[in-house]
Amino acid sequence: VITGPGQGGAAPASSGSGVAATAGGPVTGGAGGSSATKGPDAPASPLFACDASAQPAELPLPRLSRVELGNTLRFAIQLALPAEADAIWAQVSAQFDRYPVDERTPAPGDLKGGYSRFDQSIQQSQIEAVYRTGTAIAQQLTATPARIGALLGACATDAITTNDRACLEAFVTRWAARVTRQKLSADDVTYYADIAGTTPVAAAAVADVIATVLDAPETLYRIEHGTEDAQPVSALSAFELAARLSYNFWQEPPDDALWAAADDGSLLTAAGYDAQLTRILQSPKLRQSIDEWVTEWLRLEELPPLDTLSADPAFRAFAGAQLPTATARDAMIADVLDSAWAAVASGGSASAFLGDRRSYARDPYLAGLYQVAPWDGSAAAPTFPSPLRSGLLTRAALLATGTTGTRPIHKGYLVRNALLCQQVGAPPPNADTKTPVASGQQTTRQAATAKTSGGVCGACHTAIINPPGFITESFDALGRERTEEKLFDAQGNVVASLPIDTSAVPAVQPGDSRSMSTATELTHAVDTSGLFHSCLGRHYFRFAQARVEDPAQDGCLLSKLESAARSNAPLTDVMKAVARDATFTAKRFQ
Amino acid sequence: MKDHPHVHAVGRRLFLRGAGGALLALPILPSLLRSKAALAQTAQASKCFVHFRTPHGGIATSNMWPADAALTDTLAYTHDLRRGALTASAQGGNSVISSVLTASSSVLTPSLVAKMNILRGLDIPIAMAHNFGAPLGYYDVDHQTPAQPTATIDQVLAYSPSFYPALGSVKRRSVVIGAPGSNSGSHGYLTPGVRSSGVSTSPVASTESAQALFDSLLAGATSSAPAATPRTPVVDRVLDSYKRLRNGSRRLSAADKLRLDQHIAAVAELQRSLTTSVAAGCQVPARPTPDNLSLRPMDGVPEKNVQFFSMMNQILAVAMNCGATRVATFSIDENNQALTFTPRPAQGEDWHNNVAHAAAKTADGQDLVRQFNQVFFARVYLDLVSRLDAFSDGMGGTLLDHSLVVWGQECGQVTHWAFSMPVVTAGSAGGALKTGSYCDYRNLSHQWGGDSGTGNESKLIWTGLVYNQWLSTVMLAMGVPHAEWADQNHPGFGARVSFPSDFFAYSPGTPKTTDVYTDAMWQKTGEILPFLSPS
Repeated sequence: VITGPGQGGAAPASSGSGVAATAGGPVTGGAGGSSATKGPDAPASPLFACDASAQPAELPLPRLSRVELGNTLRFAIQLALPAEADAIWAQVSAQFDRYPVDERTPAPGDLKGGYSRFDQSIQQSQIEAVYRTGTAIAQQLTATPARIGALLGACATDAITTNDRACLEAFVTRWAARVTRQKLSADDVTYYADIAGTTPVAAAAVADVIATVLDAPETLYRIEHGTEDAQPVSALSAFELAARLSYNFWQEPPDDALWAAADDGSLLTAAGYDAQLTRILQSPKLRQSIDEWVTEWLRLEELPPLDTLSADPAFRAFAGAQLPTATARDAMIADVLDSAWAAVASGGSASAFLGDRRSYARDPYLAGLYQVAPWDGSAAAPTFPSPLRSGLLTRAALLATGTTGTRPIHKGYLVRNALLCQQVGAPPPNADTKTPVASGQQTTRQAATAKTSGGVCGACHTAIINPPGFITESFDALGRERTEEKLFDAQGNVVASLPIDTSAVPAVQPGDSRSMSTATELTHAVDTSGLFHSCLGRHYFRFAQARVEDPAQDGCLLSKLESAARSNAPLTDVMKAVARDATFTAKRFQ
Repeated sequence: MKDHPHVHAVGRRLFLRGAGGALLALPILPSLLRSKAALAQTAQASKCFVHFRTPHGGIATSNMWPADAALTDTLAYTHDLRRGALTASAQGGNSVISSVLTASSSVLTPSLVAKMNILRGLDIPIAMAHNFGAPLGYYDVDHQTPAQPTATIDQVLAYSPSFYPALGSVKRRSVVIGAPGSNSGSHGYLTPGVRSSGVSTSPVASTESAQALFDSLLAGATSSAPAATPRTPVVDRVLDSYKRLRNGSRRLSAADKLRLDQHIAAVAELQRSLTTSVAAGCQVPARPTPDNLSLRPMDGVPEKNVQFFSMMNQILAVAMNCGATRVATFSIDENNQALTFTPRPAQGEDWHNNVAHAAAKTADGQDLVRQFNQVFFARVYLDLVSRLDAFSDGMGGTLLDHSLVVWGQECGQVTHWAFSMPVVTAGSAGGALKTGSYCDYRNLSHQWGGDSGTGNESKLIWTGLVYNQWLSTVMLAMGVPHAEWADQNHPGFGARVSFPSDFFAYSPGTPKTTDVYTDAMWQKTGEILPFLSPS
């Protein structure tokens, strides 16, 4: 029996799921209802329910992620000197490289369920790196009289000095407002302009103003004051709302159109908000956040380099003519991300992503593994020739290991944990996690079974973790189809060739005793269970809210996401559900 | 002073320039410094702490520890403890303390051995499994947030007014070295130095670039001419902009303000750092070019693995001698950093699964773990130790004598288990610790019940003293009083953890956890570990 994750293992409001399993202990709880009484293809009961009296948490003073900050600094340069923006960024990027990488921290009860957006820590090294980057940008923007002129206008380079202060204030009003995502008050403009001192358009003076703005709290954080001082939950201002929209979906500051909608107030109307939301979700700029979300949700970074063992005789013999290239890993990851983007951009649903049977392999090596022609990135992507390659579960990134052997336990856990959001707990401290390796007359599956079927291991592995991984054993450790498993000695000689057994009872839903033997069947079961859709909703919640859900307090938004995903609405509708929720358009002061 | 191939002997004058701002203001005369009082003052001001953390543990008893015959002395404590003089035998061109603790005789000299300690029998009594912060006091069981998060010793030191009574030429209170984006194992308070603000569950961000290390610690040694018309430093403007928001009239939540306070504290620290110069006369090496990051890919190439760290050691040693920092931690992880100090690549989690976890069961796995740790010890740990030992303090000692350089591990002799967490030290922290000992704190009447899943090695475990006492020992050796760090549940450092009373590994007939890690033992956690106190 398996559980859904929650805040500290708390049960979803409607599911009756129990707490997450403890290390080494039996796994308890439910996953949205048994299929035994509803037919094998009936979806599981919804996992989330809305409690209208709930009070969802608010992320305090959200810090821009590293990606968002980088985009913001580039935006600031682009806004200031568009013709030289790339060259200037090239000059300062080494400073920004020192900005610490946001770390993925575990979600409670879900070791691998966290996102880098969860990292809201304030670090000394961040402050230092952004300070150095900001001052470097400021020096670049003011490096020559020509740049000063381009920044501030002719008023900065003419012979008249009486207009210098006004010249600087106009720049601050225009540029600093966009960088800090707020309409500056007269006091704000004065505050920044005063930094320049008595020589308002001198290079050093302007540089100081720019550096201060780039390091300002309104630049590095999303500062939200709300509009209703007396209310515990306050509607956001138009500019605050614009910033939430642009950072959540584009990971960058509002563009001109969104800024204009905030400025003229139309963003605060239902029609105006919907128009901007639709435009945002149709923009190619959405891609960056989709890539980040999918990469972290599916843990694509866990795919190891595939060419490390290229000199190993056994690996060379295993790979044959398809010895992995240095770019193979990136190509496999890109294949998954292109599939996700294709679904989003084409109005596809969660099911469409799960069952997408097209190859997005632009790389000849990966295309060769898929036995298709390389995709050119614009034409219709070719379909997998093999009917066994059922979609997401059979993309190479989810199969390859960089060794001669598959990892059915790892694959099974990924399906169970990442795609179905079912928690199986951590292995006991004394678990032997040595990867089962085929040897003698044992296939990898047999070795995995022998290793995990006994004692405390069997409780989780036999019926929960391993079966989904066994079903895709019809693909080898590079993601190629196979019907038999070849075993090699250290010199690369074939020592055995054993038939593959892919039959297993994956029990996607508790009580489903159907045996399956193909990825197509498994994909179908995962799809019809609705659990994949609920899981997608849960993970998008985490990504969008930059925090772990509390099903009791966040049930309203979670159920909206779940409902949208399960209805097979376009994935952009799932995203819209976040932006249309009251938690997005208002701030809770706590 | 020993002749080390990588370092140049640096004299007393430079050492003193890095010894603290308060001292720099004094007219220092050698005749004065030779007095005991002056020596004590200097030593107090210049103590340095370095901690290396290596992954997995899993080093078999026979590979890690000297033979039991070396334990010649016994001390009655909470149970009988043992020690012996730490010695290394000459074998070929090597000095050998144990299989892992083996290095070239030109590096691991008798003089250096006399400055070291090896501590055995320090336990974290909880099912620890994998962690990043445990050797530093953050007991993140299985990479999860601890029930009682604790700021790590390095971060407590970094913001301790006792450790840093004057910041003088300190450019960075501490440096945290590890793979960017991975867990460094170091945790500070949400507002640095303010215990009441709570412990950050996000680890301190790390770097592993030698150039970044150089830039943050040693760059700007040559001061530039002051501007003709001095302007208010931008950092002052930045700090003011945060205070303006924090103290303004526009609405913010209490949680928002707390985070602004944290940011303000960090900007204030930046402000301090920017006005700090590397001590005049500090012999700064050239900025490393190319960076050590250019050594990648280096998985499975031990020489590159060693060079990767050696380049950072060189900078760190100079920085400590110049007083640019006094605290550093290294978090070494084969997966996150793609290195193993052996020809066997880490290959993602492959090493973790197929080497580290096989180490207690297979000879091949154990030998790879032994190689990893032996090369690390001989070429990385001792590399830094030797560099510190090459800097004279001008009073017959070295910078190492004023320092404490520790090698701690993720687990004990069986990976996942935190029994007998190995601790290797060099330096006496300015005479605060007695050195030259092999200490064994195990209770030989409390053999662990073991478990059947981890091979014969698990049958060679005896429980000992709690690791918290070692953490306390570090704090006391560094001159930080109990008031700054003692836990509310015991006099020592860090969380009081315990196995459940029915913990499965205690088989019938073996002692229960409460019988082993007794209240009496926990009441001693605030003391310097037996055998280490110089008095």
